[in-house]
Amino acid sequence: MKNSKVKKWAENVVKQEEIDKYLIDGEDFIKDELIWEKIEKNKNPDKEYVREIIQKSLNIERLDPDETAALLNVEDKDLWGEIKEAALKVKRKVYDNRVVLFAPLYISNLCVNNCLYCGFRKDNNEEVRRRLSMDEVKKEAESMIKMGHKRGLVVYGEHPKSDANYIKETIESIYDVKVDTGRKKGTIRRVNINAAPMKIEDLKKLWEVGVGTYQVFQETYHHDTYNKLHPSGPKSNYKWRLYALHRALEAGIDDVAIGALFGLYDWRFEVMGLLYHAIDLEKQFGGIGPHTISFPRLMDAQNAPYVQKTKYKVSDEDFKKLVAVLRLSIPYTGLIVTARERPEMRDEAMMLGCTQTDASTRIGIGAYSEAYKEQEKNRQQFVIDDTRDVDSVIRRFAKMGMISSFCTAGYRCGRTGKKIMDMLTTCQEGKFCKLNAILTFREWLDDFASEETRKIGENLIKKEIKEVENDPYFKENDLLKPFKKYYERIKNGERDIYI
Amino acid sequence: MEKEISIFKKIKDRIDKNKNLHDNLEIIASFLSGKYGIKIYFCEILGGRRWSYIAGSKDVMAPTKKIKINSILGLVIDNYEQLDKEEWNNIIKIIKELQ
Repeated sequence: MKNSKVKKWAENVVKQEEIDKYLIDGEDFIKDELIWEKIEKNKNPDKEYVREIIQKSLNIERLDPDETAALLNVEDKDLWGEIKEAALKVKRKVYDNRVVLFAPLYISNLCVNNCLYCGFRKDNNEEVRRRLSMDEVKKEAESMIKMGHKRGLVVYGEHPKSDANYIKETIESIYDVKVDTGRKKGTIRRVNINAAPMKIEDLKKLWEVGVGTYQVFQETYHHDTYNKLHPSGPKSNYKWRLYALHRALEAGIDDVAIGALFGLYDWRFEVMGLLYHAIDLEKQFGGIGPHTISFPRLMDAQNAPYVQKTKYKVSDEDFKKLVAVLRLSIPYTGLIVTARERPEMRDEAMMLGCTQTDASTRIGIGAYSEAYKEQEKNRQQFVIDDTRDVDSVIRRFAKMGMISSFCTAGYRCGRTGKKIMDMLTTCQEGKFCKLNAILTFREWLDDFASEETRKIGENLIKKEIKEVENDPYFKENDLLKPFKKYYERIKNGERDIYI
Repeated sequence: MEKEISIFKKIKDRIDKNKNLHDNLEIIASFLSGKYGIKIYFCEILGGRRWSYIAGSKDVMAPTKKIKINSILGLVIDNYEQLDKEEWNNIIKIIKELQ
């Protein structure tokens, strides 16, 4: 494709009318000064006030900005201990003790943007540029399925060669792949995507082919920093990106995911930005907030000058704080911690309320099927810190008493959008999570586990089933009997049955 | 329980042709739930795999049956066994006629 054509395409991406319709009094919902005012105003919060906030969160109510700002300002060590303890309790109430596993799939690194922290940026001439063909996409999906994955997060650069039509085709291709995994054909059952903001008409195309969650990270919510770090391309338009998920919801995609790249600006500001984002989605879409929130930390990337320069790098201690505060502030949302983090940090993040993570992660274009083991900076957006395979990650979680889940049930029986939001806030979705986690874990143990992991997994499953039997909720809601039937059917070799 | 045929007829009597599909689906769901304790909800089907809630029961339920009404509309039923197959077929026929 000629450069002039690409340039013209990029110039026509943003549709001003699809920003303006969501503005209130002509302004977006991130007020930089107000955020700083709230952070300042809530300094040295009273202990009892903080405990009241914690209790509100334990009642699974979303916090207000002042309350979140107060949590961000806690300095007392013991009080932080209480916050962290509460974070895990909130997670268990809403999602039980399961961790959903997925695999990221990078299929195009062509990009018209120039983000100063990203290896895919247009001006990085050392990056090996590539867009996978549909056959290559299918090969990648096959490799993921052979590892035991059921859920993919597909990542695309912003470019006319990876536009909505290409994305649509890749989603269909991935769903079409069926691999013999022993007992039955294995498939990717849910395709989530991380792609650039689009117009509503394009988003409808993705909705029609059954896209899972649509994820767009704002990167930084701070206007000036955003403008500085995104000097050109459609991504230089802050508001176009800020309202990407409003447009998605309007197009019908009722599972949307937000995120910020921590390290670009002050971490406390970004937490407040994420909260305001959730509030505005709830306000404008009848209570539907973000399905998940991601909080990746800035990692080393090829020819990305800002990574070395930034003064906002988030320390491990602050990272744990931000995870706990997000958990308490937006109790209903899923929290995703990724392989960017070291294994020990992932373990800790799990104990602070994270609900999803990746495993066997390869983020180079074509990296699953071409099976290259070393990370290659010139094929990746950034470098990851945890390259463990699925089996090791699952075994580790099982040792920690957490069950790995490959559940994709909600999305295939109408528990999405407002329905799932209501079930999350009333702590009912977690009950389904528990049952489906056991069912999919049983599948995975039988089809993919090493002997060592299987042994540990069997003990965990026994404990989980006992908990189900002893919880009156399952009997009262007629869930126990069907669950037991399904479990037996899976043990006998059936696959992909869920509640 | 009343004779099954009467359930089907009662649903038919409650359909309001002046109302849109969504409202009529709500009518069917609330009739079955209020009168017979049968919980159902309806989903839009996307790409043949994603089922997205559009109308019907908001209660917790362990669906015993998922029925594809057609390529874009699905029915999720909590207690399917409460009616016989013929009755469900008649109800599905009414739903198909709504579109």
